[in-house]
Amino acid sequence: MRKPAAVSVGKRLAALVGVQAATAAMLLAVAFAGYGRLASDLGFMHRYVLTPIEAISEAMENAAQLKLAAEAPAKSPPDEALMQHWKRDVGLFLERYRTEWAVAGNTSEDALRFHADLERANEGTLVSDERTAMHDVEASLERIDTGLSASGTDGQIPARIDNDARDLRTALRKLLRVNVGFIEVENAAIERRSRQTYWWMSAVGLLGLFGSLALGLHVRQAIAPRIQRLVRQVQKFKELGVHERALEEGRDEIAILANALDAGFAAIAARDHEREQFLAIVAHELKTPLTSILGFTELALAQPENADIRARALGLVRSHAGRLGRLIDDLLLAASTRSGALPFRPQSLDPAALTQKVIGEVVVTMPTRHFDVDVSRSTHLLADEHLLTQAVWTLLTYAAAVAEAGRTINVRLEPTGAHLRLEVAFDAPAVLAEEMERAFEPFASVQYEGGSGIRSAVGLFLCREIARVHGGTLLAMNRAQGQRMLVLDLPA
Amino acid sequence: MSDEAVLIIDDDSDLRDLVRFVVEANGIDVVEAATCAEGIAAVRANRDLICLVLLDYSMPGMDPTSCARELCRLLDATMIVLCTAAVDPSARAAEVGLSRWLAKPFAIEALESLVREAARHPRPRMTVSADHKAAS
Repeated sequence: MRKPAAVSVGKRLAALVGVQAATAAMLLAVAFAGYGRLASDLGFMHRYVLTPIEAISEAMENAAQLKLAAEAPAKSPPDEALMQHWKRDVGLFLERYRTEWAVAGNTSEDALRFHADLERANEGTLVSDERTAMHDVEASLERIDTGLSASGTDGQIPARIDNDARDLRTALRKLLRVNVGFIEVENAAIERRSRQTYWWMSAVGLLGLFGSLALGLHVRQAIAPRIQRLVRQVQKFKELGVHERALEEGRDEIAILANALDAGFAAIAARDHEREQFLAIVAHELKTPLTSILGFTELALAQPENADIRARALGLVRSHAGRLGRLIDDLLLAASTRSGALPFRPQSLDPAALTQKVIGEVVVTMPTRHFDVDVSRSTHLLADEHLLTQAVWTLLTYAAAVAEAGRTINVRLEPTGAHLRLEVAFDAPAVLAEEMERAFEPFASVQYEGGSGIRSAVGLFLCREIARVHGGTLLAMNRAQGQRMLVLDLPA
Repeated sequence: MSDEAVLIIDDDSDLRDLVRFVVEANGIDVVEAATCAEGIAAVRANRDLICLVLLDYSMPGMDPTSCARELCRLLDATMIVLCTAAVDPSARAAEVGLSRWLAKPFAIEALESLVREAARHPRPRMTVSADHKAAS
């Protein structure tokens, strides 16, 4: 027994698409996050490490100039103004470094992250080294400043400035090494984060891939075999006309489709069965009177001197020929109706006379039936005589077939305004309202048992079609206590 | 008065009359029944006379299968011929448990042949196995 499909196909497909969309979104998120982090790291490195390195180089150059000037021989004293300039430039550098580039004391988001990177790389001492180097630079500059201030009017530069300038270069070199250390740490952090991004993207991609594959296989297994089963059933029905229930007990789209196919096939099978039953009844209705007609005709031919047999044969031909003709007409007209080509040739006619004529025909074949006819108020009608005769005959034979034995069938023809109403009322408590409705389906037929034997009649589908081509209607009404009424309403 | 009779069970009085004309012309009596219940009663009353039963398929009252089963309890099955206007008479005969049938409309000659054959052969006792020969 197959498990009923609880989850709809749409939901399964939505889940599959959802997994794929989520995978793509996560990949994008990881890629954006990785790119953002990389851009941030590179920006930080450019702003806080590479730019100051360039400035440190210039400061070191100024410090070198200072040292060279301080080491100048006494006979050619250095230009003090130039030395003041170099010292000021280094001072400006230090000020800028401290306010713009120093990692130590920087509380920006990037700097805090960089601090974390330093800690992770066990290079946290670089920050204190930077602070020490800045302090050393500052101290050297102060000493140089003091030395330059103390220089004599003779332009002699104190000898210790030489040492201070060297200390300044040393402090700047230290600051440079700190920044190179920063570069190494940041570079390692960028590499680490790139690897993280790579692994994240790989993990999300693989997860999405396997998720999509698994879900796709699940969707396929949930859909494909059932579709194939449905196709086999359709094929079997097409080739052999055999209908087997799909037995789809779920509530998903495939189950709905299978149930719709089931209903369709069942309807086709039922229609086929009805058609076979209809043809069997019509064949029976045609062959039964033919047996008597042929038999008595044969006897009459074999015994030409027997007047009784001859009269009986002729009587049978007379009573059955009309009914056989009507049955054949019904078959032909029903076929025309099914192909949408019901012939309609209207002419002015007297419906009262037509009804009387048809009742006369029916009474010949059903002598035990009694019709109470009220067609006194005559009028004229524009209608197809052949079709209308067939319709009235079908109505009356149907009523005669289903009406309770021994009960009168009331026929009333009445003009009502711009319409003409033919009512055929009869007692048929054994006939259910649903059975009356089914009589209007194509190839419907009725077979009822009565006191005088089995009575058959073709259904009312053709009759309703005839009413329709005349612009009228045919209705079945169920009244109290099993009284039924067929009402043919035509525009007068 | 013949010592043999054909029982016709059919709700169509025209057909009963036709069978009467044909069978009586062959010197055999006819017993008529319009329903199966009447037919079974007729068999019970004339069991020694009846050499052939012509049973219509569509009749009011008892369904044809029950009717045929009841008749087979009283008579040998080979003496019962199903008369039917169905498209496939053999299937209808098999459906009600009979092996012989007469398809409507039938020629007078076919009916006469059936009657003559029944009259010629001694009526089988119920213990004798049936000769399942279909009438065409």
